[in-house]
Amino acid sequence: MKDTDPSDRAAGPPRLSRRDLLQGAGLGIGALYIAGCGGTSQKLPSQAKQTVEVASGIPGPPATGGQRGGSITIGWEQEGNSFDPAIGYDLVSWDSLCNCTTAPLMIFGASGAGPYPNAAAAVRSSERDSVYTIHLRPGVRFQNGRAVTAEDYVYSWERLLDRKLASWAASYLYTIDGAEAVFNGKAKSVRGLKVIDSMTLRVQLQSSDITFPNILAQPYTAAVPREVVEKYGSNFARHVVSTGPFMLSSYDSAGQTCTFRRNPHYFWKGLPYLDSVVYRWGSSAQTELLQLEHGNIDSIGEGIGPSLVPQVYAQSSLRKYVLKVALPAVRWIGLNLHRHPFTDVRVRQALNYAVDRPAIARIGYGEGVAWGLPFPRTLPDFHRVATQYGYNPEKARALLHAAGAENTSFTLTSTSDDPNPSIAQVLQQQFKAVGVNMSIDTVSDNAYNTATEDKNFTAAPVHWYQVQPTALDILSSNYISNGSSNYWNYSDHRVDSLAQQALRAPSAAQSNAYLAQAERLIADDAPGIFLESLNFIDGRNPNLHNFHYNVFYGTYYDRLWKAT
Amino acid sequence: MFGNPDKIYANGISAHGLPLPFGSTGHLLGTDSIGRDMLARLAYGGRTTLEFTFISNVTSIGLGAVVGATAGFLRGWTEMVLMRITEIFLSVPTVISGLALASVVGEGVFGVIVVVTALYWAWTARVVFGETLALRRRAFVEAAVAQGVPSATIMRRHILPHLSSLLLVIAALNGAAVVAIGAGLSYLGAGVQPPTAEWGAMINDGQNALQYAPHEVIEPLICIVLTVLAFVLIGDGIARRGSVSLRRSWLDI
Repeated sequence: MKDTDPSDRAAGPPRLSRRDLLQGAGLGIGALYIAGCGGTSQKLPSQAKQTVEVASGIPGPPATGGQRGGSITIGWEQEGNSFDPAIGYDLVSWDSLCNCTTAPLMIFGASGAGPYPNAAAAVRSSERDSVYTIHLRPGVRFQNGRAVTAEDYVYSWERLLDRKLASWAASYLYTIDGAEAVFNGKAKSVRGLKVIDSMTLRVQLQSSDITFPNILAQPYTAAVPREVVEKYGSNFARHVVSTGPFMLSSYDSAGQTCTFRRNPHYFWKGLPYLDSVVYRWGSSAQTELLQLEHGNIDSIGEGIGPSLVPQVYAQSSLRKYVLKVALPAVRWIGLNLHRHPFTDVRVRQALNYAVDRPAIARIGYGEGVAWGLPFPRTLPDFHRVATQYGYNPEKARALLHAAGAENTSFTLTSTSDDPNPSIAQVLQQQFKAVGVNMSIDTVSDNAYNTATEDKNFTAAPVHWYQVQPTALDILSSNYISNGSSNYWNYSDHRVDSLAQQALRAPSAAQSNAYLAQAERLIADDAPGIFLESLNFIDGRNPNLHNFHYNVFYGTYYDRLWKAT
Repeated sequence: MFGNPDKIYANGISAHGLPLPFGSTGHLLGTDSIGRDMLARLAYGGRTTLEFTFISNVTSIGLGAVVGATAGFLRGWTEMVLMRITEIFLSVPTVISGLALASVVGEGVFGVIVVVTALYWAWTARVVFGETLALRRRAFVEAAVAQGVPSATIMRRHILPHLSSLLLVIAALNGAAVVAIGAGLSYLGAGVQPPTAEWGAMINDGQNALQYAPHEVIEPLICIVLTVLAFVLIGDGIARRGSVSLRRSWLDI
């Protein structure tokens, strides 16, 4: 739960951290997108002199009019924690990894579809989806010019599993046979990784895992060159080399800026259009908006915060900068099921009925859509069987009466991150209307994180941004008994079982069917007060062309071009 | 009279999600970002402010007066101990230590009262100490001491009555400081908590809306400035009517 991720794009608050986000994502990664996708690509005509190629299934370069050259500047509030693919987890680092420095084997489409082959030419599965054969795309080179081989992936993944590196992403590879043993120091190499030839890698999983292709679409599984890592050691993050469209050419921490230069070896021919991408950090959200309006920056990395959105909509001159994107993300109030009054399911259900969600959404200025279920509203091919909680104060009072909790009270532990204070105060009044007194304890982000991780809270606002196109992402972290972010003490063996079945399902449709049942059980148990499905309110210069926002990665910088 | 300060009006936000501006029909001073009436919240915020100001004044001035008068009258080791403690408290930066203390004693009106008392009693003690030293040398006090009148009686009958006009001025100036520090603590999230209306907290609530709804910040700010000014003028007025002179450093918060 903490807060800042590509996820925390807009909220920020108690914003969950990128790490939390991704922690959640990894375990479950459901992805129901068949391994074995063929290595197709599309060739598109362009006014640019070169032919331009990209993976199929993701937004391509413009058919006409693409202009080469130029630079764009992205504004950030804070400096990224690390540009090392194994280490970086916050919003800034995530953006740099996904859209500048790395090019994973697979890649998601803008709306989250896929994944499709990227640095891989093809990924094929066999033996009940427990063995994957990855064929590398010919011509993929590191930014230093060396060709990428299958050995580089073995090295990169074993590096990720090096306990001394303390990568937050290590556990995502546990699905590979023998990976956990390497992490625990019981083996030196991963038994399940086998180099067939320099361009082919075979991966043996512990058991079938429909989400494995999604792991291949994460930046932390991209290849890094051993010689560069060994040369720079712990300072690799400032000299990061991988296979992405831009390479880090300068980093000035004191000056609060860094520059990514065009990678001449990028394997998608003709891309990127831009010569460079510049990050500048250290400005407040309000200042960033002014910088965007005056052309000092081209995009606000974190997006436009909820409390600034009305200003943008109120000023006609600013509206052209806004782009709203529906994300697979939700906001809810997490409840500690071991604490009074939430030990009683009727109280939890009552509070779900007591919430007037459209009123909450109204003060979020478009950042959220009223949503009374645990899983995000926008999930591909997901057919719901659960019914949303609606606003029904009479039913809420009846449930509270039945539970003998008419005048119950509890404390919400929250942060001051936008829009938590506003939402908390509206909820306070809505609960008061059904006789429940909620006091608000506003604490620092660190205190909030400690309270939730230690389960030393009664209720706390949470938001979750998925980085996988499957509800296994949120389910496996938040609602299975040993979920890494299950701070709610929620445990239902039926949900655990459904999660396992969804993970091992032979098809996306079957996996989603299990997940839909799990959602219904969770909604009935109400371990949270479900509030909103979230949007990302992007702020970007309208002169940026072929602008596509990926719901997991952020903006694709490699095919972007800027009108001069 | 002003309505419920916590009520969220369904029509309290415009179609674009903006708070209603100053002068809107039904909401004379506009609404805040979640649709509550600003006039009602300012009125109730004033009540909250005066409530903690009054109680904090009584506690901080009471404690300071007792410490200062005792040290000034008894002298000796009592003076040394009490005034060294006083000086320690005077040397502590107000806002930072206030935030730290608030995190220990808890938030809300009670927390503000404890913090203000802890931070401001020493100022009173220092001034009262000096005045008591002067009184101690007056003939009527020395005569009472010579006649063997108990110290407590001398304090009650001869010292404290002569400190009353000084304490009134201190109360007025202290009030100004308490209003400002209380609002500051609430603004920083360490004071009065939602949904209780309080001017500092209202500024906090409205600061993100400064560009498009400046009334959310300006209106409570005006209330704070006017109230602080009122306390200062009252203090000045009382001082002019008597012979008390105090430095304005009292307001050095």
